[in-house]
Amino acid sequence: MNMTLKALTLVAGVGLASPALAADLRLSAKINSYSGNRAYAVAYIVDSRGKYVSTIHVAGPKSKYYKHFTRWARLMARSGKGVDGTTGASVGSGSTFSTRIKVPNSMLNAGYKLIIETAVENQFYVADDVIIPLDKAHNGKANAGSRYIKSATISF
Amino acid sequence: MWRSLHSLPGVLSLVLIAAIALSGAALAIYPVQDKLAPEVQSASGLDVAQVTAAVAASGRDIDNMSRSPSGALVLHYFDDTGMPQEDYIDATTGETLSPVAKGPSFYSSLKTFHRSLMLGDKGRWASGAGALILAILALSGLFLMVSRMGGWRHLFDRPKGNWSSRIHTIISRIVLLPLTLSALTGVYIALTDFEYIPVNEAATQAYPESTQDVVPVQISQMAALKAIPLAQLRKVTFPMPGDTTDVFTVKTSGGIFYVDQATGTVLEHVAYTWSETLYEWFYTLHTGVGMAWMGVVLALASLTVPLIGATGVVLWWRRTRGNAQRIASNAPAGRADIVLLVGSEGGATWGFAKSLHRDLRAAGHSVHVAPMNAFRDHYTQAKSVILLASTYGNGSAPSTADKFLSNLALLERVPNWSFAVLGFGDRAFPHYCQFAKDIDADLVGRGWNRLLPASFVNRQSTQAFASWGVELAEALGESFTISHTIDLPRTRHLTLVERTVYGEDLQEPTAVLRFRLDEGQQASLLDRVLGRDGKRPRFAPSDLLGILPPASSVPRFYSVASVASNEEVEICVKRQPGGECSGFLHGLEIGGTIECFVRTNPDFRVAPGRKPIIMISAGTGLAPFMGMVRANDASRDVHLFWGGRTPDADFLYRDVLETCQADGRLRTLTTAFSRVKDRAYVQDKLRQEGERLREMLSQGASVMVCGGDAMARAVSAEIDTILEPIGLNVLQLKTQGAYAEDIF
Repeated sequence: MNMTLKALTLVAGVGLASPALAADLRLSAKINSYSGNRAYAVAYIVDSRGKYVSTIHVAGPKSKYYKHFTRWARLMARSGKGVDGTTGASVGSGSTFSTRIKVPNSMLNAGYKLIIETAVENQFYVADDVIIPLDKAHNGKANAGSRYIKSATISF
Repeated sequence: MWRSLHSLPGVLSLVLIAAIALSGAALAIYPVQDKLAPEVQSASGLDVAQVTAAVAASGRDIDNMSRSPSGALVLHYFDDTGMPQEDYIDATTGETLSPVAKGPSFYSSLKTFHRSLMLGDKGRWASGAGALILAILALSGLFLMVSRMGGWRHLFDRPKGNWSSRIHTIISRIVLLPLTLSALTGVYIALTDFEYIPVNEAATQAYPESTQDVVPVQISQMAALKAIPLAQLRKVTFPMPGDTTDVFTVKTSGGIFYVDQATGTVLEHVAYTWSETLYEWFYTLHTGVGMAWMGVVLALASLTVPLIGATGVVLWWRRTRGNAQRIASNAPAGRADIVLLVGSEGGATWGFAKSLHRDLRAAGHSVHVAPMNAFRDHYTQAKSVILLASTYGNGSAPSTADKFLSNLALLERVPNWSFAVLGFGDRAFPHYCQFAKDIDADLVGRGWNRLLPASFVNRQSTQAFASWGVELAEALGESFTISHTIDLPRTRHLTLVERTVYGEDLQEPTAVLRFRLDEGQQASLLDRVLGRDGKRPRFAPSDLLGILPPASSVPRFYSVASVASNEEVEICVKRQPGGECSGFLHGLEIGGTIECFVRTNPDFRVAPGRKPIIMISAGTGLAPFMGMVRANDASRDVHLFWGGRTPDADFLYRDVLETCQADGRLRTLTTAFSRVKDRAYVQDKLRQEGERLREMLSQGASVMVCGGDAMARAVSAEIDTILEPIGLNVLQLKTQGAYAEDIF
């Protein structure tokens, strides 16, 4: 695997764009009811061509499990960028996680998408649990997830 | 100390440990099953280069290819839409065999249950604790067993005692090692899970880069990949497509190799850290993954856990049931005129103490009962102190008496009370009632006034207890009776169908009585379910028939003289003067019925194998041997010694024995008669045949003795003399299981 993935370090904090051209992006997601271990989740942004831009939030403390999100890891490795965004605890059945981050305005209404991947040990790894385009039509609306995510909402 | 670590913790954690053990046993099947899966392929003759080249040729966007411990190859790649996929692939062609099934399965649920009881982090704590407790139980159990068997050298001797104690001992000593291993590795894995023990993953210091500006070598020709046999491969991670600086990362059983994607040579080799290697070792030892036979051993060992636990609970329950606190109206120590001190291990002796307490109180005494360990110099009004003591292991004190002798040493004066010792034991043990004998000798040595010589009760014989009570009453100058009833098994009714009486003219004639089981009780449903009709006959040689004479709850025991049968049983009864049961049986008419039950005698059985057997008996002691001889075949030598009174009146089974001699079921028959001109007892005949017996015993023959107490002792002394020249004695034979006694 690529060196960038090898050098996974948790950077708490945002480091993307200058404040003047940035907007507050809020994300909140609710987990479905299921039986099993607590879920890990990662929320990240890709551009209109599907290339990795940045990670918004990682829910799950142990970095040794991050390599199991193969799609996210592969996209990140191709882009040469490291993990950024906020981190939080893993999420159990029925719980929620949320975060707030500054993103440059150029990301909004430009075909960029927010993707949330989820994984539960001994169960499934879902690379496309929720995909939300970052545009006016989806601002503030709840989007249903395909397996572990019940619904996710973004607002900016 | 070991008992407190073993007994109650074991009982309390039984459910938890059984759950973990059973789920573990089920999980252990999977590595074995894995070996048989279609995806598993032999890796012989293949190297990493071949397989990698085959897979790369398929043109897929590959992330990595991994090899499971059982040998299955899995390809992790991304499909056209960029979604991750996993397929089993063929080792030679790189073609997909089948997609890997994802998602929760019974296996994953089982694993979660085993590791955390499906209760999350708290459950992991419980599971880890369970493993630790199991390790402690195994260790403490080992020390308890050593103590009970009488030393490390005797650890694998035949255990004695009731069936739950035997099963507990036999099974646990077989599975001790694999179970302890599972428990300790389980504790280790739990500790690494919680990260109390760190497992540092091997990593490179600086990520290497592939050579640029060279013509890339074909994957199938890469030297580094060709040098690694497929059997050693764990995972090969492909370089990122389009990134020429990236490398192949090859994880093998010998460490991690970083391979240049252009030149195909090794750029760097990183060995596993020792913590990683250790983890791998313990993981393999615990799960059997990659070592299928280990999985089978662990599974079988784990399956026995509920049985060991259940028998352990039975033993614990038996021990706590006879508790001093349960004895009602116990007089205070300072006020009682009779003090009963109890040394008990399994609780049976407490039962007798309770009955004695009740009967002495009924006779007007005020009685204080306490464990022997509670002995203090505060029995200010006591006139008599009675000590009831069983023996543990090789003659040591039972658990409620282990401090008695040292407490006794603190008493400096000679007390003004008298004492009597009643020992409880089992003649099958070599050191019969040794502790009771030791106490008796110790107290006499201290100058205590002895009321009665020490008496012994064999195998909880309520009869012996009652007759000791008569002696006790006499010694106290009173006239009370004592009795003790043990829970009797369900009784059957048998009908007398035949009777032969020997020695009618003699004062104590002997009758051979044959009984038949009543029609209506041929085989209950329970019997059939338990397979009694087929497997073990209801009445078998060496068994004892416990007969309840009318209006009595104290059973008398007689050896079964017939061959194994489900319908008929034969016993030999000598009429005792004033004997309640023998009188009843002698007076029974044909067609009369008796109420009885069967008690097995597992320590008095014919030794397995083909070595000769020497059977020694007198009087009705011939009974068990009759069944054994009649069931014998000519290939096994049986030498029977029997002592009676006169050949004309008394010779039981004379015809049958002659027949058996003729057809070889009985090799030699030596008789001794005590009321004829050349009077002889059976031990005299043993002396005469001493050389022949010595020869047989030195070659591994076994001895079985059945008869009265005095005869058994005389025989034992005689055999000791016979064995002296070859350096053996009866005690040694008993320990080896080559000398068995059935004494009445």
